[in-house]
Amino acid sequence: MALTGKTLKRTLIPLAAVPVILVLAYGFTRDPREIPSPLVGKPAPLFQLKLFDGTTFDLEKERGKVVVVNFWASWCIPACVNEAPRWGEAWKRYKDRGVVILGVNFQDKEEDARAFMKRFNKVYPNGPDVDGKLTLDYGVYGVPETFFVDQQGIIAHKHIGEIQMKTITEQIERLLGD
Amino acid sequence: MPHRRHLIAGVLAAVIIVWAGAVLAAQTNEALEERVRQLASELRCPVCQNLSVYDSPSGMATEMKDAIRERLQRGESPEQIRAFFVSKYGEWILLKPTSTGFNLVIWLLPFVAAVFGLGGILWVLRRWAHRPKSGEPAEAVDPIYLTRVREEVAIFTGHPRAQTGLSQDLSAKESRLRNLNEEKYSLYEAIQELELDYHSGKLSAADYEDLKQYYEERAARILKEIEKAPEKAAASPSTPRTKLKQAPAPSKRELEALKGGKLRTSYLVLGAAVLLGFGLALGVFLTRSVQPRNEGGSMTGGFLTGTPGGQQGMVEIPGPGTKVNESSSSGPLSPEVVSGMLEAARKSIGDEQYSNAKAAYEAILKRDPQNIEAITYMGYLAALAGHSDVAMTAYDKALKLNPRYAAALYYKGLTLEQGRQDHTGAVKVWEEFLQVIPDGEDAKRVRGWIAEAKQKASSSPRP
Repeated sequence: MALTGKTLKRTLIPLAAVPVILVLAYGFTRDPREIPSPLVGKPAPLFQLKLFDGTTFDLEKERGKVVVVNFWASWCIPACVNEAPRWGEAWKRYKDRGVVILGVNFQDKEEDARAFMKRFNKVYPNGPDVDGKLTLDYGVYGVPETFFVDQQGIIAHKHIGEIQMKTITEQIERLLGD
Repeated sequence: MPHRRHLIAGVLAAVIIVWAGAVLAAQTNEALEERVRQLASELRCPVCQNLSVYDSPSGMATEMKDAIRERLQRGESPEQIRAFFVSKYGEWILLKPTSTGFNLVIWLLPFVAAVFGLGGILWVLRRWAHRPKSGEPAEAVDPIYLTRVREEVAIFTGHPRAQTGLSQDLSAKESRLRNLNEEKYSLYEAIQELELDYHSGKLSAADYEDLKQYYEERAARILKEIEKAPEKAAASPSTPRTKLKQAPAPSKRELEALKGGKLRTSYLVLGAAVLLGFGLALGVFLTRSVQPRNEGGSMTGGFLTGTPGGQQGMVEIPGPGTKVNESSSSGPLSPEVVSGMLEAARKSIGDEQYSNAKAAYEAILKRDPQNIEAITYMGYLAALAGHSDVAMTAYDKALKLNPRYAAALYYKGLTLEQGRQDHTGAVKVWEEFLQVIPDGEDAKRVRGWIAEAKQKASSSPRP
């Protein structure tokens, strides 16, 4: 057979490298930091959170509204700083349209958090996740992270990292439109 | 005395019970901690880069350890706890991927590769071990024929070409003899070519010796066979012949493969090129997909915090409008390098890439701790994060170095005004600023602020 021996070896060895190169090429095009959350599409974990103003936020009571849960920290620069005015803007725009925005303060000192809120005039509900339970329940990797919960209490979307006004509006409008 | 004895016995018993209890508690505690440790080291710390929850000192990891401990105390099994974390974070949270489904590939591939690799090595080794004997019986060659081969090669002037179709009647013996001759000439030719290659430096001495010996021995055996042929010894080349079908002489390709020299170099060049290409690709892609965490950046890495933000007018404090070029140029870095770094940092602030700016200023301060601009802007960045006390310390440090440093005055006023609501303090600092920079856009802006602050100060007098 003419194809055995050397010819075979000469073609087969480079051919065997092709799938390896393809796998590597595919791997390199992917973002290693993009981690899909298993929570999207699932019911949002229920919780009660003691807020900075002394009242308690109960997710269960907000059924029927769109709830946006935003995890932030005063030390998270610049993403949380950049986001802060956008959340104030969103709160103004949507508070009367059946949308609740909740800020969850993550791994922070209370005084720093309060100073941050004062600086950015955060008037929507905000509370510290003191023991980190809420953070774990929502599978938070870091701040900022934002969860959009629909009227049925299902997590419709999760946004990792700094969020733009466009995304906030798009997501809320989508849920309001449903 | 019996009373006393009872008392002692009682005390002793109590001590033993308490001690045993403590030991037991300590032991269960230790066992619990061991289980926490075990589980925590299997989980990936979400806010770190490639650290287990157990290894990480971060607040988040501590809370995760607490959660594990609590769940263990509640009687949950390690599987349940693992499942809890997977349900929240996905399989990503497990440092060891589970060995099911597609993941199986990761677990099996190394073994498969190892088996193939070992097989390949064995195969190659066996081939090498067999090479000297390949094809020919290991029978000793008659030195007489070897000498004759050498003599004939020395005077060999070319392969006598076969003449086409003159006589058809060739006995099997004649045909065989001619084939042997063909092969012999081919070998002579190969030996001459080999010598040529060797002298022109295409072949190493070792390869040359090896191959030469191989060809010569083969030729000697053929020569012997030809001599032994009973009738016409060595059919003369001039004998009319028919066209040969297929000489059993080594084909051109086989000869080349045996010669190896040229082929090996081309393989080497090809291999080097492939390797170089692979290395380049690896370098390019790796640097693109892996970035070091900026100092001061979020523990979660740049992607969570470093997303380039849109210019939606978020931060009230304006960018560094005051252009200052009074960088003190002491320290081991040349002034050009420092000013280049400062330029980059200023640009980062302008682009709202605060973590980059912070990293740049930290790098400058590391080499030049007295750099007034870096000190000032580190304060500005701290103020942005809401740490007005840190910011004030930085501004004061800068002003101590140069009491008329405009940028420090400018930002100190802002922090006093916005971070501390100290309107009178802000006015005082800004007035100092105006003494340094009396005209221009910044001065105009500062005058506006002073007016506002004065108004606020009068409407809400400080206690």
